[in-house]
Amino acid sequence: MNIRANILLRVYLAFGLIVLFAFAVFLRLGQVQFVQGHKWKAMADSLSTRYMPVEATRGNIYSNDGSLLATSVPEYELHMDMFAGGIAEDKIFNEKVDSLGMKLAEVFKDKSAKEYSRLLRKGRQDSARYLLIHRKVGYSDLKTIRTFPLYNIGKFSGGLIAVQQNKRILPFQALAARTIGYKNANVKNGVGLEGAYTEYINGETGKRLMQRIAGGVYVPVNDEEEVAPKDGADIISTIDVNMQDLAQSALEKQLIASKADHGAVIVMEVATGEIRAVANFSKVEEGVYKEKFNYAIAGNQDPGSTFKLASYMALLEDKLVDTNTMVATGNYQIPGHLIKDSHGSIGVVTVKKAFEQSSNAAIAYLVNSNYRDNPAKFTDHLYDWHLNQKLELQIPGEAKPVVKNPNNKSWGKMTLPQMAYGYEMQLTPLKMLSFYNAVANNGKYVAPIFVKEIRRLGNPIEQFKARVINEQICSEVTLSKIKKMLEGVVTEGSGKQIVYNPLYKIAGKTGTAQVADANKGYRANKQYQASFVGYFPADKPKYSMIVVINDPKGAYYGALVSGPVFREIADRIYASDMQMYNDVPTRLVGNTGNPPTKAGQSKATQKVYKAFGFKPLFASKSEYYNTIDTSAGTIFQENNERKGVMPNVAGMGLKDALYLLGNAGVKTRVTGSGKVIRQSVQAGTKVGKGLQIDIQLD
Amino acid sequence: MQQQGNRFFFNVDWITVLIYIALCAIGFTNIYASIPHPDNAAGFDFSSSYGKQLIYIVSGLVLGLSILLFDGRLFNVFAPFVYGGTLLLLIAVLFIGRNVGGNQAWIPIGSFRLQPSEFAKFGTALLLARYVSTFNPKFRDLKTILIAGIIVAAPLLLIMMQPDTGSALVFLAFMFPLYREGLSGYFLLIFLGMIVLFVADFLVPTTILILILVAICGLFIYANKRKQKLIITTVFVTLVAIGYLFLVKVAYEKVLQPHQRNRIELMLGLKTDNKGAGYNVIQSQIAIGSGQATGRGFLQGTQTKYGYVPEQSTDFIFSTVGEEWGFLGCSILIGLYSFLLLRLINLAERQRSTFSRVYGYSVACILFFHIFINIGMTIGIIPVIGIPLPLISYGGSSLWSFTILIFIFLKLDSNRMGFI
Repeated sequence: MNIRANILLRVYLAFGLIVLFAFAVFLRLGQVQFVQGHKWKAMADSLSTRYMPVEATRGNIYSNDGSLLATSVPEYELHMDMFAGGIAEDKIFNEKVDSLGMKLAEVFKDKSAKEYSRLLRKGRQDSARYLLIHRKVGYSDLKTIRTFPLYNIGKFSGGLIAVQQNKRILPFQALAARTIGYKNANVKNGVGLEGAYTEYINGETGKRLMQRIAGGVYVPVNDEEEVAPKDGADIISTIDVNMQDLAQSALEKQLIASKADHGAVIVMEVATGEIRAVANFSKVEEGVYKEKFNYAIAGNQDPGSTFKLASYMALLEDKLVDTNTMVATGNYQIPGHLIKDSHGSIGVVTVKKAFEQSSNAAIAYLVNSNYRDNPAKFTDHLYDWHLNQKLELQIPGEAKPVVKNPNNKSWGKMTLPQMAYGYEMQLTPLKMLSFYNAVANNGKYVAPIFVKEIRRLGNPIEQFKARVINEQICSEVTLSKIKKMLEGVVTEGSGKQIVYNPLYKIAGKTGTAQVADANKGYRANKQYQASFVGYFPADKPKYSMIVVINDPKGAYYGALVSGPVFREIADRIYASDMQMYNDVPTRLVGNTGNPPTKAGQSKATQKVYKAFGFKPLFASKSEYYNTIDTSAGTIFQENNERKGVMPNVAGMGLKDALYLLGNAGVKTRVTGSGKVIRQSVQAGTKVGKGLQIDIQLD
Repeated sequence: MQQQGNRFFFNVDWITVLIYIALCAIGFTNIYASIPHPDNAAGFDFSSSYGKQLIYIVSGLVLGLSILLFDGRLFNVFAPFVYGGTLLLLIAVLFIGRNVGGNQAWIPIGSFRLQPSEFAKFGTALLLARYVSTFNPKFRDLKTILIAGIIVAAPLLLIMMQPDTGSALVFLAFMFPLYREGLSGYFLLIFLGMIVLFVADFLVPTTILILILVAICGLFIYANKRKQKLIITTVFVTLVAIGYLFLVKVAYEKVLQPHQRNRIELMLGLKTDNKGAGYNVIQSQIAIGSGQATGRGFLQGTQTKYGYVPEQSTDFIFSTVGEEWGFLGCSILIGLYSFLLLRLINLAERQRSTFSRVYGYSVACILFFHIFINIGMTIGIIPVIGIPLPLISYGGSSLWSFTILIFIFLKLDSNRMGFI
């Protein structure tokens, strides 16, 4: 019986242990789930969720005529979690890894199928959870890649991680690239408009509550707690695409012809101070010029003869000379120094003639003899005209002008006569131009602007008007005399042969300055800066322009080197600008049918049609379509984008066209503005990746 | 024949079979929940873990039912061969095995991976039952204890070499059936004492611990001052215990691997490391804790859904139950387990044959150890030891091995009136 009791005890012990254990687990569970439940729950949320920034779409930069100068398109960086839920099993992975490698090689073409599968296997071996597969992948490629073996197991469980980035593209590529500028992680403040208006363009980064899932990937938890990103505002710049194009091509042509070192062209609208074109080119090798440095706003140099305008203006204002005052040319002897005209003497001539022929000796004599006893009187004029001050431009990088006064230590005996014809000072081309612009603008001196409006969702949020530096820089009398002299340069003087156009009047001034070498001074080797600055049409000025070309080989006179560039650009602007002709009759024709639409995004078009009460005949389902205008209505044609096939972008706006072409994988060069009227490759043609195509807009 | 058939079905303990099926179903449900379902429309996927588990469950059921068709006596006869076979597999795995997560524990057979340590459990149970039933040994004899000890220790040591400490620890469960058969209770006491001292050694400075031991010893001697033999034993035990304290310190540093030391220290609250070594347990407790009374609901657990808890479908499946079904679900699961264990012991006790009884106890104790260690670790009262939760965790080897264990016992039980 004792044994039996003993065994029974042991059996009870077994039962007891189980019951005890179950009880202990209950207790602990109760503690974890009831007493500490909230603590754990809070911990769960804090450990697994976090607010992640949601990048806002950067705003676009538009030209004055509404062309798209800079825009953002999405681009993806592809990573792979080698042990994502769906591919954790060796069998699944090993079975498909080679076909995935093959497919990737087909798409990217940068590595062979073998190399890709080796990369994947190595990643697997290293247990990589974030293996870089490829950078800079377009959306349509991504769509294809999602269907590849392994990746098609599931959006997350297949292991593919696509990180979206916004890529900035300039549809007109090199056109005004320096002025548009750029902003990236490598540059602290950014360059050009992109840099200057970063705050507006960037928008506000949003916040989204994201939760970590397998493999360190974050997915959005819900939409409610999200702070939506505020998309960047659009910048409406003053740049005119066509003028910019003209300026760039004319300048580049001349730089190549004259084998010059660098050059700049600025076109400015007289009344508003709006910059229509800024072109800058530097030589990178023989015959090849690139936009590398913004000489227009940062290239501080001796302006040379173009500065004589200021000297004569001071003399005329102080009534020390008149346009018909006679003055000797050729040589001007100052004790210990001889100022010589490079063309030689033209005898004793009127002030007007001396200006037109750009005599250094004459102006040096006039200024030196009249202001020698009180040089401050001369420099005070220059300071009154703010020539010594920055223009406070909207874009960064402006060089500070240097204009001496008698209090400066470096003021010497030669300073005053040399300043008279534009030496011993530092002015940027834009500074010089804005002074000429003031003359063209009847004495009203305005600071140039590059941006005229900032828009958010199409609504202007900020508008810019040119700052008026000086309402009236000089008297009406002086102004009209100065204007006559500037016109004379082109009709009678140094600009006559090259700049003169009988169809309309150009007023301006040539300049040929010797460039000081930083180390050796003026005498080192003869380098010249040839410039021409002026405005047109002279009787009703609309645009002012400066052309500066540095270190041309062969001919170096302003009239010969910069004159033709000025003339070419001015002619073509004049020819294309209706407002400059008088009384061009316009005929308005009533529109009775359905208004035609640009081809483009279907939703957007439908919305517009709806708003105006038009009913399209047939609305296609695809995201993009082309249209055919009919009298009865608008037929919508499916426009199915396929990778590697040229899409039909005819009739589309630039933004839509670029989007589709980008998806098709081709590089696009754009000319003109408006709707696409021509594409260099026919729709439906198979196109290779990176093929260069042209589209023409009108 | 008709009568024979009736008796066959009548004799099988269908209650246990029902619990078995219920547990498998719970397992499947939670494995389904513990993998991410990004596109829910994907339908049923047999290549996913839940799909495979369904295959394992169905084949396990077929396997279990076919075991019921065997002649019960075969198990007794073949016990040494099964045991020998599993030992060979355990040796083989050390050479041709596949290393997964640091353990050389799997033999790949096609796409399936066999884990011999799972099958060693029932091989050992069979041989132990046969040894005890055939020789009817006296557990007061040192020889008996030694032989029984060797039967258990051989697979245990081989598994330690993989090294799979968790699976090896399970073999300590065989102490209980032997205790039931007459092994001295001191063995259990010593075992318990070792654990208590081990833990105490971390929490209390060794010198104070020695003082406490000496004090207890002194009190004991004072109470039994007339019994000389007892006094000698007491002093001896105290000295061994003090020696053990020092040994533990050394063994802890030298024998245990860093990750094991980490797990122990984390469990004892000596350090916290929520993102490193303690990640599993913290995440598991977060999952269970956030379930609260009734859980977040099926497929609603964020910890579960997004794969926060590593080994979610295998060793940490209990956290899924805790998060999605809450205290209620956990209680039902533990209730089911407790009922199964009590039922198995109840069945074991009604056996006439020693073989069946020892085997039945072994099955119950192996299950108990698994459940105790696994659930204990997911709720943070036991250091992390990677062993599966019986019938619930994902994995074919473990499911089949528990199926074989249970159904062999059910077969033996259905023959309890016969002679084995």
